[in-house]
Amino acid sequence: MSKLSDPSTWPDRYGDSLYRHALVRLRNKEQAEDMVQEALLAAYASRDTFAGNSTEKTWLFSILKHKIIDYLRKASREQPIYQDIEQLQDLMEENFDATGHCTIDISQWSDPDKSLEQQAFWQTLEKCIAGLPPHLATLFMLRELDGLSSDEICKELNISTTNNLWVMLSRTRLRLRQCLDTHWFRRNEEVV
Amino acid sequence: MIKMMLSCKDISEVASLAIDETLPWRKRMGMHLHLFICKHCRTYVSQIGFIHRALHHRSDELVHMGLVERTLSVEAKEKIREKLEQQKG
Ligand SMILES: [Zn+2]
Repeated sequence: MSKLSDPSTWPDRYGDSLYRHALVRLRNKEQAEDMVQEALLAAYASRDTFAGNSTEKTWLFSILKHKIIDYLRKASREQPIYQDIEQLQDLMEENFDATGHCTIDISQWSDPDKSLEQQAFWQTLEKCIAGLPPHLATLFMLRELDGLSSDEICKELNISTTNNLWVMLSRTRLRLRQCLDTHWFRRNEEVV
Repeated sequence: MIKMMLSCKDISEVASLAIDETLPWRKRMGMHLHLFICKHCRTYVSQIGFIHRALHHRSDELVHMGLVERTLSVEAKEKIREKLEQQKG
């Protein structure tokens, strides 16, 4: 393990960036802390497998990523993710009639890119994400932030078909759109 | 007869899929046909695209705007260091 630095320096050198990585995906401080700890301990235990093809930091991050997926897999065993998606079922009925026709008023958002510069927008987005069924939210973040492939996600999380996954992702987007519409874009129009 | 005409509900799925994967041409055609005549869905598609772009910047912005903690607490670091030392034995 000559290529690796002294593990007792890892928390100081990499702790912050690993923690932020976990925190934006799990949105929970304790869980994020646990993930960092588990990742570093696992890294130490498998230090002999470090081939030096990547930097130490990249290697630690890849271990953390796997730990987060493991966590999600265990969590989804306790409460299967398809139950999460059932919670979004009434959303479909709200948005579409029996023939699949859109029944809500989808009006244009004015200058959405400008919202990206506002702290309050990001706070609203966080609230909307927090309002999603939790495992689905984490899954969605892994997909959006890390670009995990559909096959990978289905295999890891025991989702029977990629089609199921795509339905989950589409409903998550439907829900987020509606939440931002109600709590950000329409509210802003009222103020103006 | 191939079912070319998609409903708005279909579009909510196909448009999301278009963000994640490359659509097969038939679905792509079906989507564009529907978007051509449906203003609602055109708006919908642009809005979920916006959300996708926003999420792409989310980590950086949360840190930048001070909406998540930037650092792992000193206590947590110390705790992890101790555990690592224990493993070393
Ligand atoms: Zn439509």
